[in-house]
Amino acid sequence: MKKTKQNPEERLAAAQQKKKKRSFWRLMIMTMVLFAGAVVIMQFVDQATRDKNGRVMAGDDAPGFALVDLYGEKQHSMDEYKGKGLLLNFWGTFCEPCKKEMPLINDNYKMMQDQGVNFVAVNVGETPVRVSSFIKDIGGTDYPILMDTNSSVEKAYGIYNLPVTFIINKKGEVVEKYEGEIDQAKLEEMVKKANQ
Amino acid sequence: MQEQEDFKQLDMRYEEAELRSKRKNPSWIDRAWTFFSSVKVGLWLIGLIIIASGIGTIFPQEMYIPQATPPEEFYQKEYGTAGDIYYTLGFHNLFESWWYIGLITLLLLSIIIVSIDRFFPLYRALKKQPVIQSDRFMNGQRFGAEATGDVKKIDAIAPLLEKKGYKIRRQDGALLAEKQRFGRWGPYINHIGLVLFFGGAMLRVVPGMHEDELLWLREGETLPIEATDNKYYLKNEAFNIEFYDPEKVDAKFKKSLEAAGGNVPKNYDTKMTLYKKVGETSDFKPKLEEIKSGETAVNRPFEFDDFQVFQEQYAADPEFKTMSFSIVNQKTGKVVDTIKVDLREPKETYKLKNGYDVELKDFLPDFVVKDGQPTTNSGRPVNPAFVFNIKSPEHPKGERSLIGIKLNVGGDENQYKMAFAGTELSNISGVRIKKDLTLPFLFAGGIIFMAGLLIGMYWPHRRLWLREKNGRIQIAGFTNKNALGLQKEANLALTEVGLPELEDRQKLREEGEAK
Amino acid sequence: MNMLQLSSNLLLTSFIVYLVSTGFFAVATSGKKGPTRSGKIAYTLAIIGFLAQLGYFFTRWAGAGHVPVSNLYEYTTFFGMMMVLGFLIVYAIYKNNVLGLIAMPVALLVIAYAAMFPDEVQPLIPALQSVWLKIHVTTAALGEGILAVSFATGLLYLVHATDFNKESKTRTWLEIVMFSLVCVVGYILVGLLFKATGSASTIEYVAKNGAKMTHEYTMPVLTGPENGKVLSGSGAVIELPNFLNANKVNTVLWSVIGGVVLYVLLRFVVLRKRVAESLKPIARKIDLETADEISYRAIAIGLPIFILGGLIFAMIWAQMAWSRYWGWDPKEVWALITMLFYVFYLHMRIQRGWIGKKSAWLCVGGFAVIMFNLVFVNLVVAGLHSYA
Repeated sequence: MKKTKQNPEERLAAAQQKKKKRSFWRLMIMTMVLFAGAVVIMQFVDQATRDKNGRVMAGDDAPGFALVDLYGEKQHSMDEYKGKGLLLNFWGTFCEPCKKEMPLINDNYKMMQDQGVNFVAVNVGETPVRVSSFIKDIGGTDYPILMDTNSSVEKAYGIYNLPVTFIINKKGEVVEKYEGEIDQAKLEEMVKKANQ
Repeated sequence: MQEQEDFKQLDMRYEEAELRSKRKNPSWIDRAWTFFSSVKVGLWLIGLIIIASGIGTIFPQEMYIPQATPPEEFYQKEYGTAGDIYYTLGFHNLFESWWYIGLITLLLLSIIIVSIDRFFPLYRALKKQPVIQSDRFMNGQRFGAEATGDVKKIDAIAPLLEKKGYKIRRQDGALLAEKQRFGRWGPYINHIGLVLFFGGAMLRVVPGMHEDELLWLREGETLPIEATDNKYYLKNEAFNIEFYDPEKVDAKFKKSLEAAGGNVPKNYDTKMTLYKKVGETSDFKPKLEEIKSGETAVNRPFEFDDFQVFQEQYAADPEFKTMSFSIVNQKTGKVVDTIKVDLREPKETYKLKNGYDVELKDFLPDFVVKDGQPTTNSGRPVNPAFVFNIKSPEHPKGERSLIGIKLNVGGDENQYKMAFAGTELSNISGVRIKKDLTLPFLFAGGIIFMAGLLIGMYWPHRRLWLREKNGRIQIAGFTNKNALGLQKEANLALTEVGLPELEDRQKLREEGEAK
Repeated sequence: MNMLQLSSNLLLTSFIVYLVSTGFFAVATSGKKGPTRSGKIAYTLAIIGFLAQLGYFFTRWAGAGHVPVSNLYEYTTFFGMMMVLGFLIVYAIYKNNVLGLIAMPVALLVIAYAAMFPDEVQPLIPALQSVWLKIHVTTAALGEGILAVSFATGLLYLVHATDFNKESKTRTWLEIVMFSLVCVVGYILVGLLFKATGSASTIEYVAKNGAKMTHEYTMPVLTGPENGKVLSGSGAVIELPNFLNANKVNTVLWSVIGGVVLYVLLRFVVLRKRVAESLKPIARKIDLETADEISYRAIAIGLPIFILGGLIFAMIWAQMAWSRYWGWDPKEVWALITMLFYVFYLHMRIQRGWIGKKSAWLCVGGFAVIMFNLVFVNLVVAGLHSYA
């Protein structure tokens, strides 16, 4: 450090300048460390409010999917429903309530489409032989039956109980996760929610 | 004697430098800073972390309890009221609680501030040390001596000390010999390592730094790896498990194996192939390109890119994979043909020789009869049953039968029957796919931590001051570790030039007090 | 099989040699200060005992086919061996016989305690099949062994510095420390006694999850499970609710009973004074400054080794075997606590000038933490490390 002659005012100003600089760095360091800690805490808090097994819940963004229908004709993906309401249903042939709700859904499918809400039913990793036999038994469906062959979408959504229906709004967010059989009233409510 | 009893050692930890936190007119920033710059606060934090961590081990943490029971029931059921209190206070997730992470963050802050506040003044003080020190300084050192003599003695000792690795500085006849100043930085290096370690651990929250996925793979199955955004697929080629054999190979373990009861696994591993998705086929299946194949076993992960695949667990029971059937003409007893049904991908029609066909009308993986109707209980092939329709020249429309394990409905009355002809099983391997880009930071942090610890502990900073004043030579010695070492080293040189040995003034004073 | 037989003979040999060595240390300290002839003999014997135990270690290694530190029996024995090694190193520097008279019996106690666990060789589960088993466990045990030396000197310091004629906290707490050591002896003696008399019992009970479980008692049953059914041996005097492990409570109860009996005998019949006080003539032979310095040195050497083995190597291995370097397993947490405790000690000493008595208490406390991690965490708090 060079020592030059300074008058008292200059020295005072320099000292104050130095003090300011020091305060700035002190604040910076404390803020950064506390911020890092806060981020970690938030991460854990976020994890705690979310399901610990990674199940998708209301308020989450709906994970994307790209699945082929039962007849291998068309691939349906999340993207094609963007900007529209979507009811994403998971089902299995071994699930009694699924079997019961399917005709009801089929009857309302046209109404839903008229209101701009789509409905797709994802089968949870069963074989096409089984699923087509089952669909034949209940007289077929107008809405697409998607085959989640390697259960990856089921895993992404964290499915435990069947049937379960995710109401996804136009922005692609899950509005509600409904576990259990759907009846007429519930279906109409779902359509309304998906359209919001 | 008088002098020795008055002896008051100077606090040389920071070379008497003024620590930065002590300032006039503190603002709130300064107050907070000063608070954390106190070692006492840091030690309190360590104490609190010790207690909190201990509490966290009284009962198992939530991550270690069986998944079947919800935690709110588990602690109450398992540990009674104490368990209930433990759960209510949130101690079941103690190490992820806001206050525990908070304590660690504050300790980190304390370490950083304490180090900054002490390192810079110390660094400056050591950088511009004077060769000639005051009487107060010379007499305030723990080690010292005085004798009559002239500068020649100081001149003579210089090369001796130099040989011992001391750096010598002279000024007006006075001498300062110093070695291993670096040892003073040990604690700060150690703290840097610690901060790097914790910082690295915190980096995990940055997206993309850390991926963790458990993948259950049946033998022969190929599944996308979600942790790689489904860019990579993993195929389980074969799962192998081997148990200790108390009778033959591992007879020496017989007693303890019997005590353990049941099988003790010796080794299990999964042979696997990694594929990269390069596109999609016309029927929407992924086009895969083989990248590499290998094996994962416990302690020997399979690696690709930044990922590691760990062998973690396996399903206790293998699963049915295929079932084979012979089509038998019951009139002649002749076998027409044999088919093998892949239970994961059964075909709708199996074309046979000589114009025979078998149609698979339905496949019930977990067969059960409900309300008089054959159906399935789940999607898993636990108890497979099949509805076959055998088309033959005699029966162009086909003959139907329901076949399963110990189950044959309609098969006996038909001309052609499906006879069970064997099955294949497959094991299910649970592998964990992991990516952790924070590991290099932790590793570097750990190495720096240890280096700092060793430098601080085994690299004593030693200094000797010699000064001639009015025909007397004053000697003072300093070391921050291992007093005996300094005395030995210095005394050898001092006596060689005819100077007295260093006295431990602190010891003399204590002995004086004791008398 | 021969290898294993040879191995256990060597262990027994080393145990006896250690005992004799302790005797010579006692002779050495009853005379003048400093290294005497018997002190040299004692040290030589300690080295011979250590070599014999090293022989046990390697023959068992050869016999089992893996490094013998994989269960409680093997680990505790090895820990005792490392304590002896730690003592040998420190003795080489300070030539202090008094230290031998404390350190050797503590090491003997640890080795005898190890003998209470089943001593059959066990196969390694896949997670343990790694070079890191050797590296991690041996380094951690060596660190702990050296740290244990600071316990011996800390104890000597406290006994030396305490005036037993005056009522003080130090006097009370020292006696509590001595009582806990006596309880360990009690546990070992009671265990041997009941092994000899063969008082095993089996009681069946229904666990919380509804499964039928049995407790295999090796000692007469004082505390049994709720609604237990006696399959063999004797029934319980008191029934405990099932969230307590009645068998473990029973063992602890017997150890305490053994400890109390032994303590009363020592205190009122044999020594006729406080147990700690009876060490005073020995402790007086080591000057306070030396005791304090040895404690510090032992920690300065032991702590880096412990951190390296018990935390850093442990994390590297955990990353390989379990895919995560840290999982808040009780054993891991207690290794962290051990480190934090000694870090606390170092800062207190260097930064806040805690030397002498306070520092000596921290040395005793540190050993308590190590023993807690060895005994309680393995036996009571079950985690990933309870292989035994």
